[in-house]
Amino acid sequence: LTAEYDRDDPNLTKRMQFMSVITISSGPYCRREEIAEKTARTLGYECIGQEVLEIASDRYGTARPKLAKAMEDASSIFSSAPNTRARLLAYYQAAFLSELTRDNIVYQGRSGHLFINGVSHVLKVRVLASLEDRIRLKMDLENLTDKKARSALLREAKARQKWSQAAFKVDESDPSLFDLVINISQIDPDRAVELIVDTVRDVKFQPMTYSVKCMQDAELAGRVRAALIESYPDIKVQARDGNIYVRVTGVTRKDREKKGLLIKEQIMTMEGVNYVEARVDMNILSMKAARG
Amino acid sequence: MSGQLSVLLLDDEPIVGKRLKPSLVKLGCEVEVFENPREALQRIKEKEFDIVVTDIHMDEIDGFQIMEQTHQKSNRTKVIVITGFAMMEVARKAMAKGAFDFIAKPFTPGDLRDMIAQAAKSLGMELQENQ
Repeated sequence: LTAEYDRDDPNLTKRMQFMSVITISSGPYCRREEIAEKTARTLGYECIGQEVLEIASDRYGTARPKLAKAMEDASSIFSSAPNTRARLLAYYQAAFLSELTRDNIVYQGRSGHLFINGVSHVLKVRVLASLEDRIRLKMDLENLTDKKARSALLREAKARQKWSQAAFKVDESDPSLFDLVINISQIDPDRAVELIVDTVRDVKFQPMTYSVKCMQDAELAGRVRAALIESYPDIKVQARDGNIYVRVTGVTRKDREKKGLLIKEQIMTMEGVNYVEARVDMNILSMKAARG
Repeated sequence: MSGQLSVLLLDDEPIVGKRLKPSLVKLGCEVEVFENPREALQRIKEKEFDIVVTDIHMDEIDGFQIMEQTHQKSNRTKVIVITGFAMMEVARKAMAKGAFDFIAKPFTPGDLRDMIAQAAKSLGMELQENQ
């Protein structure tokens, strides 16, 4: 689609400066990294994964191990305060979305598909393999017995289910969350790469004005939410064409007015923001608690 | 290739045609506006337009049928879909059925210009904007 255009040409219309994005997720030992890297090489895209943690950590001043734990470990989700969990996930999401808007990206990770929704030029792929194949691979790579590898994989699968339920209220392996699911116990990894490349070239996954705007809106909303979530843990943010709609709660009328003004002040200067509407709803539960 | 771009604009909400027509004329397009899909279809059968801009959700005939008929008349015509009910599934369906571009309403004159310019470019034509 874009081969005939110079994508750095400033006169080029917005849509043609973009290309499709691929997220590849899997459980452990499904050869996801290998498939993602080959896919990226074939398409001339960049393959990213763990780098997002680094970016989120640098940008939001949060220790990488803390972020990694929040992303990987279900127990951390349950043990950390809900506000901390939401904040860490918001930081990760903002970094992830900013990477996706860089374009020409194959993202590989366990749960990237949960952080972006409704963008038609994002192809979401799930790679899976039979438990027996995964056990064999884990045994080979980690020098484990069959029994140990099996129980570790089963334990991890349960933990991941718990994590995605706690963080997103979905099972991250639910096939309906994906555009393409490939079982590499039946389809060779090289063929899997061909299938992914063929699918992303389908016209359905090509950027259009609407999908480019959806991606830009998601990125901006993610960035605004990450900037405000520490002060407003219950924040909800929507973005459209640079217009930001924020909803938070406040206790008293004065508190609500103050919050509305502070939010506007804080985000009006952010890149890409043209207009801010802050709605501060009455928090009935907090009012009752304040009254005792 | 020079020449005036011929554009058919179909939306059953009169305000859309009223608002978009001046912008398209300013871009140097020759514009025919329709609110009734049947009348638009009749015109599409008669004339090969460079660009058809159509809504999706309309009574009796929807934008997908308009797109199909447009491409039956000429595969060269670029169809731009505009809708107030944009969703990923609808967007993908429109692209699969041959839409050139897809956008959610409301949109800015700049967005419209971008889409028309791109369609013109892919037709080997240029915008001849009126000052």
